[in-house]
This record gives sequence, structure tokens and C-alpha cells, in this order.
Amino acid sequence: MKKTIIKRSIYSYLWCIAMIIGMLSPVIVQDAEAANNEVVSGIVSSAENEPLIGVSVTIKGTTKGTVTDVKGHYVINANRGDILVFSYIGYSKREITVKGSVLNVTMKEDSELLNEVVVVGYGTMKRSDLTGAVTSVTAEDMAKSVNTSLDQALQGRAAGVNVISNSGAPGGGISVSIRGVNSFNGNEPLYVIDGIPISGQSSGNSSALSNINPSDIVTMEILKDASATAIYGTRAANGVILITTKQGKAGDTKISYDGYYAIQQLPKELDVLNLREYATYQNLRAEVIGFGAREEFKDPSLLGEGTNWQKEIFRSAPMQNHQLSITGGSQKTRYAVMAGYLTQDGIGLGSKFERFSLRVNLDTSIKKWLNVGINAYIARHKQVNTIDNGGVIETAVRQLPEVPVRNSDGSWGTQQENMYGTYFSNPVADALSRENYNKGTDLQLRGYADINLLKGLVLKTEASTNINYYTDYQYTPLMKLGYFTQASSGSRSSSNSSFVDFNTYLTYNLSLVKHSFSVMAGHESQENNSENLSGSRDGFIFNSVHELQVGDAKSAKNSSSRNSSAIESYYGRFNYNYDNRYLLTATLRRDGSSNFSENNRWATFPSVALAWRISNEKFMKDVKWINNVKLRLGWGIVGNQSIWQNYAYGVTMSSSATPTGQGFYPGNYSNSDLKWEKTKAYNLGLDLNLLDNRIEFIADFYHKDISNLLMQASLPSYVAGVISSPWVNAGSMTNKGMELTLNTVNISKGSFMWRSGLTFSINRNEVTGLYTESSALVGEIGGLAYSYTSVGNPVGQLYGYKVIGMFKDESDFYKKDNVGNNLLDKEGNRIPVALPKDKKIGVNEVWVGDYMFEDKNNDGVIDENDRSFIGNPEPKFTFGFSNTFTYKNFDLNIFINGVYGNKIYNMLRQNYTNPMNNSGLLKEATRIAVLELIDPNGAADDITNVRVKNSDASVQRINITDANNNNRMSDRFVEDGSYLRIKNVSLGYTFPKSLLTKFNIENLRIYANVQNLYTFTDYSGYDPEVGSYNVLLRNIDNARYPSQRIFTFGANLTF
Amino acid sequence: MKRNISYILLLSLFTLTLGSCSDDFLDRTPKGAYTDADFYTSASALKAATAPLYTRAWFDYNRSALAIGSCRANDCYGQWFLPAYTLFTITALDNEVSSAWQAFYSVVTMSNATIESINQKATGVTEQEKNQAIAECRLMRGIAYFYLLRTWGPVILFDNNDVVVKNPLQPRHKEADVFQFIINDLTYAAENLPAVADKGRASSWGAKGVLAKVYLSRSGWDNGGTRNQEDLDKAIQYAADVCNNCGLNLIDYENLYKYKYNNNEESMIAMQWVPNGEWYVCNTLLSDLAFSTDVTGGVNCWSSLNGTIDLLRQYEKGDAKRLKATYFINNTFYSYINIKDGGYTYDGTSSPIKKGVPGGPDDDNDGYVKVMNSPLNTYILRLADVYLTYAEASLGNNETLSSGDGLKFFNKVRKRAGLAEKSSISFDDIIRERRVEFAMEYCNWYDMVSWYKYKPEKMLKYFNDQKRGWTCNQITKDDYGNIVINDADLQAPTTPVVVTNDNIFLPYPEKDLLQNPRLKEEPQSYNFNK
Repeated sequence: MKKTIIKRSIYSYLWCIAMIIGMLSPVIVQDAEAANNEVVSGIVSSAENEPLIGVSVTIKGTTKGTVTDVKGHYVINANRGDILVFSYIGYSKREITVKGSVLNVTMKEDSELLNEVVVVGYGTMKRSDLTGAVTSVTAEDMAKSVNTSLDQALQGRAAGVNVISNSGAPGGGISVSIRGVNSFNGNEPLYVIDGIPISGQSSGNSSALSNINPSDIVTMEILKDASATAIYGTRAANGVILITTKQGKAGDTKISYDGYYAIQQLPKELDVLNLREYATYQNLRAEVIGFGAREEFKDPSLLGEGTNWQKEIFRSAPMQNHQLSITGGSQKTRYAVMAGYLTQDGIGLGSKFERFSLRVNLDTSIKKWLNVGINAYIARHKQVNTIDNGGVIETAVRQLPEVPVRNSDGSWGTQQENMYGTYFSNPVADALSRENYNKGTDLQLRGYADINLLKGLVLKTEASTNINYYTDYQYTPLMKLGYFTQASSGSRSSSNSSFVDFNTYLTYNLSLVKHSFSVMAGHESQENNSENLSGSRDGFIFNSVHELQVGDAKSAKNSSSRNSSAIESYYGRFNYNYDNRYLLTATLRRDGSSNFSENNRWATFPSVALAWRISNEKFMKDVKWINNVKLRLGWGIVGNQSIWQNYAYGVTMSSSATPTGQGFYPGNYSNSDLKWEKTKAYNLGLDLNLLDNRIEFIADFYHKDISNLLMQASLPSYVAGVISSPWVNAGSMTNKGMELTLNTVNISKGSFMWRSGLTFSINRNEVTGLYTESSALVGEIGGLAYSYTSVGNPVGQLYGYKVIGMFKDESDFYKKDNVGNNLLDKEGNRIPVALPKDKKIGVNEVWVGDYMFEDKNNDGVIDENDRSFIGNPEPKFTFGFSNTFTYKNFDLNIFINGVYGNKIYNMLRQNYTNPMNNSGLLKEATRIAVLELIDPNGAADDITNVRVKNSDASVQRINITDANNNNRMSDRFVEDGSYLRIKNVSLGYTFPKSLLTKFNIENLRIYANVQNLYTFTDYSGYDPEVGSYNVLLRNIDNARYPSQRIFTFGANLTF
Repeated sequence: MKRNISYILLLSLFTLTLGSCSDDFLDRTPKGAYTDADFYTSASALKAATAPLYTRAWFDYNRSALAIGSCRANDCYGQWFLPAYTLFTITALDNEVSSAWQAFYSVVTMSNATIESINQKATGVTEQEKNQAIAECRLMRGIAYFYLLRTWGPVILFDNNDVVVKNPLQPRHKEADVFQFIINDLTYAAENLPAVADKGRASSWGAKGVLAKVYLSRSGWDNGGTRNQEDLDKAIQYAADVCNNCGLNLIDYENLYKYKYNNNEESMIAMQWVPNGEWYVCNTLLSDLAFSTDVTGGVNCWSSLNGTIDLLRQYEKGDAKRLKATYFINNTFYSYINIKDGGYTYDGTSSPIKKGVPGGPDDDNDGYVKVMNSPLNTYILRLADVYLTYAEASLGNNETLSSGDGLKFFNKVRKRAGLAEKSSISFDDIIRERRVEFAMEYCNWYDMVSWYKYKPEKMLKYFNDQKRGWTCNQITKDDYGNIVINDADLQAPTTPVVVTNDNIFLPYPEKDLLQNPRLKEEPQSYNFNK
């Protein structure tokens, strides 16, 4: 009952705010009124002598004021002795006493960022007062490259923040991790956009953030350490990213337009066998197996290249983005309206992303003691991806090079009849005729009221909601391509979810000479609800209509589901500042989550941080070259409650169809002891600004102890069958690391300036405990182990066999010394090398041309005990390096980022070098081991008579049973994932203001940009940036949609 | 100022009402699904709770059934599909090894969980209804363990999931204890299941039939080449009871493998797949079995499996009925496949798989044929199996069996196949009869393992004489419909297959060995008195 009251109240509250603002909006008027003695006028210009337009000029202590016009000119009535205040965004404020009727003013750009106000969660703070590790990414930083989504804007720009695309598809999934792997279950930070919390958890191939238009953003604050994030308690374990979008400013209305056009390309193809090589391979295969030789392949040299299917499914694709924003307002009411449109064709056939967005930010002072505001955002997107989800990339690798894309009559090319009975679809036909897209509408709405109850005491109450509607459309067409047939099937699913957050807090500020205090306390409740409805049908007669109603009614299936979760919190913060030298921040939060049973529901998250601004000490006063030195020390506990199952502490019945009606069984193992994951973190930081702020250096060191790690238990398959594994507090781990940021102005001479920014991060992870003493966590794909996590080691390391060579002839089956002679035992017999368990030397077992694995434990048998760690997916360090050159009106930015020392498991090579395959082989397969008889008249099954002919053989022999499991998980497929990427190069030109004023244009910049220009890497797959949705299966590359190279041309225009 | 204060009061009040939530704000018991606490409350709920034991629980066993039950028995062979099972080159990394292991244990864990829930949570149902539901669970658990035993030998026994979830590092148990565990389960099932069950569900006769098989298997298991008389007697007792009293009958052999004959009179226990069902509840084997879209009404399929020379040569002259229902052999006509074109005649000279291929969606299948989706049940036990078990148990340790009910029921199976009755049968006759009767029914290998445990040398020789890996593309029929395979057309594999004592049982899946090294420890005794 109470629940409905709360919900209704929130909506009615939002409604009230909307009404108030609606009534006020016509009252957006200029306040400047003129009635004074003397007319003062002048020109306001920049240091470069460009007139500044829209500079606010006010008389101190009054509400009187004006703004400069397009020539930088202003006129104001003032008394002699009045103080005029000139303020302009990005410039230092100037206060000048009126002495005559002409007052020309030069304003300096504000390089001193320390007084900038930073959003910190339930409030703001001056940057100089920060005690925690907070990194800002500003609109200016983001403008240096073209970002289609928010997460791209983050990549490489903030130390300690690692962004990896899980898919390069337009609108594709991204994983962002702050300070290493923080959890076994989801690593995405919490995003708070203008006060509305949004989970960063990607689902499948689409990003939760793809609906946010990055052009709306003014700043992003990345809260990294626990003392900064603890105020977000339960949802803070993975860090918090606070996003502020454009707000209106008092003054002239500004209209600006940003737009660009771009072309995207596939930077790299996989090298697969061409037709000649494929024919050679087929001939070899027929020879080994004894049949299946094809007449047309008799002389491969007569054949051409055949079809390069990858070329056929990838293309150069255009993208364009337009953004229009209007900002303005009066002293009382400020507004910003932003409308955007993005359309992006993917480089893969049949992929596309489109987004419309509209954002309105409005705030107004109704009374002296009452400010209200509203933030509204609506976005609609459509994401088409037939290539990723339909397995088209894989089909393109598998389909034979002999098959043409189209036959001479225009019909789709198809395979000839073959003895394997395996037929692949035509990937081009597939990508073009399959339907797979989703449409979504996101609505974010927040209303707030600030009430000044008493001097220094403010009550803020805010209500926000985030409502999403998604519909997913899929259709697999009826297809008969020669021997390949495909039945039609269609499905539709529609889901809606809503998030409602109600939040009230009181802030009290008090300043007494050298002491200043700030106390905040509040309450928050959050509720999530989601519903889903889906249906499918098969048996469509034609492909022209895809709606379910034309499918076969007998095949109809449908389902629906519903879920809800809630969090309730109490929180408080205490700030103390003594003489701008000693700063203290303490926070406390208590959260209750519906994910846990009543006994384990609530947890408390405290934090304390101290900062010492050494530069404000007396003894530093004379050190002029040091502008700022601050030492920060923080400690805090944050939590994680995010599990995918709302009722993991109990048993939900799974429903399953049976021929005699719906059946039910206990769907999960319950865990009534399940509790919060807790991260205890320490942070030590140093901020240093030197030489007139030309050098800014920030260093942070952290140590995080994460305990009660939440995850779905990794159980052996004899218990983890149909009943899903319980959620458990699986263990504990630590992350230790260091982050360095160095921003410098290297040269600033006349109109030339060279600035650079370097970020560098190191993180080391170690698992310190697991929930049953000797159990280990296994990362599993299809029942096979790929990673192994045990105490004392980093999480999710690749775990497999070591290849020590290939059996080239009979002598290789016996141990050898360094020079290649067989070793002998006491009796003078050769010592056999270890073979896989229960396997012997034999054509159908282990033979010449097979791989030799290392017998790690020297027990003479190759089995699971010989597995070892063969690669850590975590990088040794990551870095970003940005250089900006400006000369007169030109600017050039080069941004490089890189990752060093991580290992990738190239599953593509594991799958596509396997000579068990009939097709789908990489170039590497031209080096398949070919066997020859030493004595051509001797027996083929006599091991002493067989050897490998080609000395460069790097792929095992062709054999139908592969009893040696040559392609087992081994270090053969582990590759170095280090890379250095020229992520972005942009060149811009800003037109001189003097020229623009003639056209009433305030600002115009045009630019050209190249993204992902080149990647230096030894990795042989598509892209060394391999994402993952699962901590235990990181860096396992299984043909994801590759990232593209993008050439962009664009303009920013402000009126 | 006065006004301000009243505002403050008003706002504070407003904030307070919106502030703290009531306790149940954080209580989010699922609204979209049942929970175990409120589910087991009626007789029909208990039925719904045991139904997935026939369907969902076995899903992962689909392809492994073919691999282990048939390919390994050399019923069929394909160079491109599961060859390692026929050629005995399986490793712990094999897919079907892990999926069979997982599927059998899925049956075990689902049974355990359901028994536990019924015992703890059931309300509003009679003791008898409870016992019957528990009996169904125990029947399925016993059957799953029987498969596990014959695939891996010693395995982990458990009847309480929570213990194993909390501590997954459990040891294996001795084969004798696995047998005892199975017998306990099946005996309970035989006593508590009704004589006449709902369609598609097991009756007490089904439980007794399996029990007879278990006793027969145990009688010779590691027993020095003879069969234990006590177990034989038990096997005879249960088999005779079923054969004489169950009231069921054999039906036309070919009809056994038609959709419309699912749960026919002969079917005693079967996996109940959902026609046109979704993944996890459907019979996926259609596309693995069917060799051409000509026999599936255009539904995509990819089988490269063929009946082996070894098995085809087990067919006696005149055994055309069973041959036709099991393999496509040259010049054989099927009126019920491709009905709209007047039927289908196989004119190739290989021996693709017929059993499990019921035709296309437009044939007599109500449209329920799709890629990897056939509407056919998978037999766990049918009456003919109990008949042959009766005969084998009656033969016991004797050289021949030439009288009595055992022989009578043996001959019923032959008669149904259209073959002449035998006046005397030997162990070899039983092996041959079973192989033909159950060819491509995913069970021959399991029986072979029992025989191997009874007479290891004999069966090793048998396995090694099976011409494993041999192929022939010139299989035809003579004028009388008998199969013709000339030795000259045979193609031998590059190296002969060697079956040894070391590779009869499958390796434990490597992933589980990594997670539980105790699987390598010596098997322990199971504590039955917990």
C-alpha cells in the first residue's frame, strides 16, 4: 500500500514542478533596467584583441547589468566609484572601479582551474576543496575527437579508466572499468547524468549508454576512490561517473550548431585461404583421407583468387551527426535546449545506428528562497545489426572461396553438392535479408527544488525517473540457396522498464573566519520495474512481411516476465575546511537492497578523506613557481549489490514446456546467506601545479580490498546442470595500482602553443580468497575450461597446455637433448615423451604431424594436471598521450593510446586453423603438416617410415579423429595483446572573430578528424581490443565486430 | 519570516511523508514466477513438478545419446560426425562426454531438488500423491545413475544437492554402491508408482522393467565370468512380472518410430520432447540423423552417418521390416515420407539413418518437423527390451535356453520382426537380437558394457572384430529384399581400431577434473544410513 503512495507522490511531484516551470517560462526576460547618472561604455576584448561577445557586465552589489554586443561593446549607467564586474565563461572575472565614461577591458583566459566547481554527488564543491580522487573530462577534451557515444569520449582520457568496446558495431556494447577488475560480476561504473543514476551494464551487444548524446555533455567527473564514491554506497563499487550536460547562462541567447560527416572503414581483414590455396588444401585432404578428390581442383594454379567473403560483407560506410543547441536565460531563469540526430551505417553489411535526441534543462528562481529546475531528455534510437547477431562474420570466414556472391543471372551464389553434407548460407544474402534490429525510446526526467530554509541551510528535494521502451525485431528469412535451405522464423519482443528515484537532502554551510563547515544529510529511495513480452512464429510463406500474424499460428510461442528491485538509503557528509589548508571530508551511507534476505539486507558504508594544501602554508608563500600542492589521503568502504537475480536468497520455480502441459522445477540453488560485496579502499594522492600552472601533475596510489565477491558460483557440471548455480560471496581479492596524469604547456610563444597530456595507469590484481578452501573458479565455454582463478593469482588467467613442438619423425617420440640426440636411460633405451592419457602412437591416435605438449608434472602422461597459466588478460600498464598544437587559428590534436603486456586468446585461430574443418581456414593453414613416407614402398602405418615433409609446418596434420586434441586450449593461440594506437588526429581552423561579426556569427570552427588511424600491434586477429561480458572470460577473441577507422569532416557554429 | 517558518513546516512534513519507506519496500518476492514456498500445494502441482524430469532434464543428452549409445556400439559411423566414438579415440576434452555427464547429473539434481521440495514444502496433498511424485523422481534418478554407471563406472552418488553445492569436492563411489543406490531408487519407484500411469509417464511396470535390467547387469558385473544367481532370480522375477502381467503389447515395429505413435502401448518410459518445442525441450537429433532434405520435406539437415557393415550384417535374411525402419537401403519405398509426391524411394547405395527421421512437416507429423527439432520421443525402455531381458536372465549361466517363458518372449520379438521362432538360443543369439532390435535407439553400447563386465575377453574380441571404421558405398538388395554387401566394395580404415580394457569407460570431463581432483581418488563406499 505504502509503495503505491510513494510512486504516486513522485509522479505528482514531478508534475507540479513541470507546471511551475511551464507557468514561468514566458517570463524569461532581460533584467537590465537603466536609471543612473553616468553612461559608461567600452569594448571588452581578449588578450588576442578579439572582441568578446556576451560578456556580462554588472555593477557590484546591485542587480544592474548588461552584456557586450557583437563588437564587444557595452553601455551601462553607473556612478563614479561603482565597481563594474566583468565575467565571461572561460575567462577570469575582472572587477574595475568606474573612473571615467570610457572603460575598455582586456580579459584573460582562465587557466586557473582550481576554483572551478565540481559536481561531487548530492552537491558540488570547489575543485580546490576536493579530498578524493576525481578526474574531469571536459567538453573541450571531448571536442578533440569525434565521439558517437559517451563511452568513446572516455577512452584513454582519464587515468585509471579502461574502456573496451565489446563490439565495434554501431551502438555496440562497451565495457568501462575503473581501477581494474572490481568484481566477479559486472564491472561497469554507475553513471549519474544530471542527477539521474543510470546503470552502465551493457546487455549483449548494445550499450546502455548508446542513447546518450555526447555532444550534450559539458563535463564528466570520474570518481575513482572510495572516499569520493562512498556517498553512492551500494552502487559505487565500480566507481561513479557524474555527467553534467549544458546549462543555460544569463545573457544573450546563443544558438550553436555542431555537425559532421564521416566515412568509416574496416582497418584489417582476416587472412583466409584464397581459392588456389583452398584447392591445394582440399587435394591434400583427399589424399590423406583416401577419397573426395575434386576434378576441378586438379591443378590449383589454373584457378583464380575466388571470392573474398570478408571484402563482400564489409564496406566503407558513411555517418553523420547534427546537433543544434540553444542556451540562454535571464538572471532568474536559465535554459538550454539541445536537439541531435545521428545516423551511422555500420561497416558490416546490414548494420546501422540512428538516434534522435532532445534535451531540455531549465532552472529558475521563483523566490529568493526557492529555486526549481527540470532536466528532461528523450532519445529514440534504432540499431540494426544483422551481421553480429546472425553469425554472418563467421559464415563469411566459413563459406568457400569457390562460391560466387552472385551467379551470372543475378541470383545468389550457392555451393555445389558436397560429400560432407555441409552447406553454408551466402553471407551477403544473409546480411541483407535477415532482419535484426531494435528500437528504443529513453526518457529521463528530473525535477528538483532547492529551498533556502535559513541562511546556509538548503533543502534539496529531487525526483527523477528513467523510462525505457525497447522493441526487438528479428526475422530469419525463408531461403533455399541450392543445397542450403533455411526455414523462416520471426520474433518480436518488447520490454519496458522504469526507474524511479526520490531523493531529499539538507545541506548546511557555515563559515567562521578560518573555519568553514558543510554538513549534508539525506534519504533516497530507488525502485526498478521491468516487464517484457515476447512472441515468435515460424513457417512464413513469403519473406515480404515479417509480422507474426502472417506466420504459422500453430508454431506461435509467447512469453512475458516481470521484475522489480529496490534500494533505500540514508546518507550524510561532513566537510571541514580550515584556512584553506586542511580539508576533511567524511561520509556515511546506509543502504538496504531488495537483493538480499531480511537478515543481510542493510549495510553501512563509511569514508574519511583528508587533504593538506601545502601551497597555502605560510612557508610556501614565497615559492612563486609552485601554484598548488595538495596531498590527499582517503579511506572508505563501498558496496556492490548488483546481481541479475532479484530473489537469489530464495528459490524461483523455472517453467519448462512438456507435452502434457507446463512443468516446473526449482530453478536455482538458493543462498539465504548472500550478502553485500564490500570494497575497502585506500587512496593516496598528490596534486601539483607548477610554473604558473603550466605544469599540472596528479598522482594517485590506491589499494582496494574487495571481500564477499558476488558471483554465480562456478560449480562442477555434476551440480551445475539445469538448476542454475547459486549466487555466492565467492571470495576476496585486491587491486593495487597507480595513476599518473601530467598536463603541460610545453611551448607558449606568441600565437603558437603546444600542450600535452599524459595519463598512465598500472593495476595489479590478486585473488586472496575463495569460498571453499580448495575450489577454483573455471571460465568455461561449451563445457571446456579456458581460464582458471585461484588464490594468490590474478583473476581469470588463461589456463591451458604448453606446446613444446611438433612430432616431425619417429625420433621425436623420445626425449632429446639440446642438440637433438635422443636421451637414453640406464638400460640404454630411449625415453618416450609423454602422450595424452590412454593414447598411443598410431595413425588414429598420436602420430607424426601432431603437436607435443609439455608434461608439466613429469608423470609421463598429458592430462589436466599439465595445464598451467599461459597468459594474463590484464595489461601491465595502459596509457594515453595527447598533444595539442595551436597556431593562430589552427589547432592540431594527436591522441595516442596504448595497452601493454596483456594476453589475448585468439579463438579464431583455434577454430579456423583446425584441419578437421572442411572450410573456413586462415592463411596459416597453408602450413599444414604434410606427411611423407621415407621408403615409398614401406608401410604407411609404420611410425619409423613416416616424417613431416614441410619443415615449416605449423598446423597439425589432417586427421579425422584428432585423438591428440591438437587444438586443445594451449599457448599456441595465446598472443600478445599489446598495442599502440593512433586513436585520433584532428585538425581544426577557427575563423577570426573580426571576420565573423560581419555575419553575426560568434564562433565558427571547421575540422577534419581521423579516428583509429593506425594500430601498432603483433596481434593477428581483427583488433587487439577484445571486450568481454564475463570477468572469467576476458580477452578471449571470438570474432567480434571489429572497430572501424573513421574519417570525419565537421563544423561548429555559434550565433 | 513568519510565513517562511510555516513554509518550512509544510515542506518538512512533505519531505517526511515521502521520506522513509515501509519495510516491505525492499521485499521483492518474484511477481512473475512461482517460488518453491507456494508451489507444491496440489496434486496437479506435483504432476507439473515431475513433468520436466521427462523433458528438460535430459536435454543435453540428445546428441550424446547418439554418440555413446549408438556410434560407440558401432551401429553407425560417419567420418565427419562423432567418429571418435566409433574409433575409440575419445578424450576428456570431448564435447559429448561433458554434455552426457552434465545431462545425467541434471536428472539427478533435478530429482534431488524435487524430492527435497516435496518433502519440505508440499501441503494439501495426500501421502500417496506425495509418494507417487517422489517415486517418479527416484525412478529418473535411478535411470540416470544406471547410464552413468555404464558410461564411467564409479561416479559420485548424492541425494542432497545442498551438500554438494556447498562442498563440490566429493569423491567417487564404488560401483557396487552405485548399483545398490539404483536398486533402492527403482524398488521404491516400483512400489509407489501406479500400475496405470498418465500417458507419457512411467508406471510401476516401467520401474520393474528397468529394475530387471539392473539386476541382470549387476549379476555379471565384475563377477569372474559368471552371473550371480540371486541377481538373476531377481531379474527373472521382475521381468516375468512385467511380461506376464503388465497388459501391454508389442506394436508394429515401423510404427514405433512415427510421431503419431509416441507413447504407444509398447513404450514404457520415454523422454517426452515437446513437438515444435523450444531449445531445451525439443528432440534436436533430426538434423544429425537425416541425410537429405528429400526425407525431411526440405528441412535443413546434415547427417553423414551410415549404418555400419558390422551392424547391417547382423540382420538375418528376411529381417526387412526392422532394416527398413532403421536404415535407408537401396530401393526401399516409404509411403509415409514425402506423401504429397506419393512417397519416397531411397535409391542410393549407402546406408543413411532412418530411425528418428519421421518425414517432413507436411507428412503425418502435424507440421512438427523443423531444423534440429523432431517430434519423436526417445525411448528409455520399451516392452521388447524387457522381453529380451527376461530371455537373457533366463539363459543365465547356461550355454543355451531351449524352453520356458524366457524363450517364449524372445520369440515374440522375432515374430514381430517377421522372423521364424528359435527353438534354442545362446548368449550370442541374444547379443545379435538386441543389436538389431535396438539399432539406432541409443542403448546398444550400454548393454555391451554390461556384457563386457560379465565376459571381458569375449566382448573385447567382439569389439575388435566389429570392423570399426570400415565403409562401403555399394550396399544393395537382392530380389528377396536381403541386403547385399560385397567384401570387394569395402574400404578399411587406415589403421585398425583397438579397443582395450583401458578405453571401455569414458574419461571424466576435463573441466570437472580441474574443479574436483578427487575424481581421481579411489572410489569410496557410500553411506546409505544418512
